[in-house]
Amino acid sequence: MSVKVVLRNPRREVEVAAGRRVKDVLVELEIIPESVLVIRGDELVTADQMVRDDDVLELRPVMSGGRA
Amino acid sequence: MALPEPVERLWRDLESVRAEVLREADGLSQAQADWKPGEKDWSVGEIVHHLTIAEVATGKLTTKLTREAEAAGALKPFPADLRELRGIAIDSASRAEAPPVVWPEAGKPIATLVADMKATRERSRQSIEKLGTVDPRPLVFKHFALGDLDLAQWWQLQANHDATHLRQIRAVKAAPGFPKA
Repeated sequence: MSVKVVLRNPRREVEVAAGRRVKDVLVELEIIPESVLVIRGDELVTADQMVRDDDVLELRPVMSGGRA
Repeated sequence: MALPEPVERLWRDLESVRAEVLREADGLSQAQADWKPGEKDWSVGEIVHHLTIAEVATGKLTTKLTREAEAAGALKPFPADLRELRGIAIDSASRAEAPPVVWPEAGKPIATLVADMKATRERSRQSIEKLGTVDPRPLVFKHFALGDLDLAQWWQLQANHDATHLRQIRAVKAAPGFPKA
């Protein structure tokens, strides 16, 4: 039961365990959950949603009003 | 389709700043698009890529919030008496470094980046048209620093985001060493 997460710099895919919340996946990858938006397939998912086997997650930056 | 006046103003804001971004990026050589003032700085190409991937996310947020509200029977039409959308107060508290895993990718062909940006904006028009048919105020999603933002505020943030990075693009192009061609 695993989930693929697409990361950049460099672009790569990492596999993590499924059957838990999005925020738990992000914490495992040492990413602050509030710092990204998570897209599964064509759908934006929230940090409390569960990830399922074979999900592919892509991360997007949360826009800020400050500098990059 | 005709948009309600407040949404039309929002669309004009989005398009105005985006036109400036495209004016700065369109026609750059690959060497110019890839150049960065310092190792930790972003190139113009990376900034364009960043703006596009952020805008795609805002489009998906639009889909999510409207679909969920519709499924819950909570989607209301755009109020005829709504003359002003809620504003957003950008301050230093909203500033944050995006984690490196969502930074843009370097070295992508500038023509592709510009084409993707234009195509994304065409799709965003559909999101804005959707926004123009619904009451945006109950459609809320939390921003890490700004708190709950309604859907119209998320699109205002997109325009602000473009403006921030437009200044960054101009700074890159004005930096000593920017390639002449």
